[in-house]
Amino acid sequence: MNDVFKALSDPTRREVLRLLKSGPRSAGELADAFPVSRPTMSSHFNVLRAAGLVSTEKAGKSVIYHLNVSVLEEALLGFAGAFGIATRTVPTTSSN
Amino acid sequence: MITRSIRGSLVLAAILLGSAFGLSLLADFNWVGPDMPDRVTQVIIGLVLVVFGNATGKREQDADPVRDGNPAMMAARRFFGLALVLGGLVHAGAWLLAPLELANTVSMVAVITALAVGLARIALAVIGQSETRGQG
Repeated sequence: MNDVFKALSDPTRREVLRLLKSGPRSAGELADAFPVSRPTMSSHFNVLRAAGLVSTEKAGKSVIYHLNVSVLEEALLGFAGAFGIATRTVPTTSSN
Repeated sequence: MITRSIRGSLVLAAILLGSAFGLSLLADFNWVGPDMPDRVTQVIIGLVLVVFGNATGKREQDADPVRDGNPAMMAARRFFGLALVLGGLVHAGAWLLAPLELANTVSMVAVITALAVGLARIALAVIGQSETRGQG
């Protein structure tokens, strides 16, 4: 459970989960939606994967991320967003 | 080889049966009120519903995301899980706090409503999925 709280404590990771609610996305698409470097995004993805909040699928060279949350984790995500640090607004479509 | 989920289910069943048997024994000796075994058993049933509902939207750790369900189906599963959790909480709360006759009615209505709403959402997702396949 510690991993889940750690993952949800960061606004970028919460935003990634919010984006994944609308459907699976590739690592590139997700990275393009945030003004941070690829290595930083990669470490965010690792934290989310370690917490079991996302599942991955290989599609050729890219990795597709799927949302994988329980009801409690989704509720925690909502609470963290509502009472935690405000999530950043990012464009929902990738620039590619 | 026994899987983790089967082991968990067996443990839950043992807790349910053990507590029902233990409490009925205690009630026979008048150590607890006559309605206590029913209440505790029903509260545990509600909590079991909450536990299973909570896990409904989550894939097994080694599951293939593609085979395990498309995004719309997973969203429906999460909704079904939420409905089960809420139904289970109302079920447990009713048996914990309400008079017996009221608890019986409220808990049944809550669980049946949760199942109906959740299954309707799953059915919509399945219909949408088959329509998408038909178009493609």
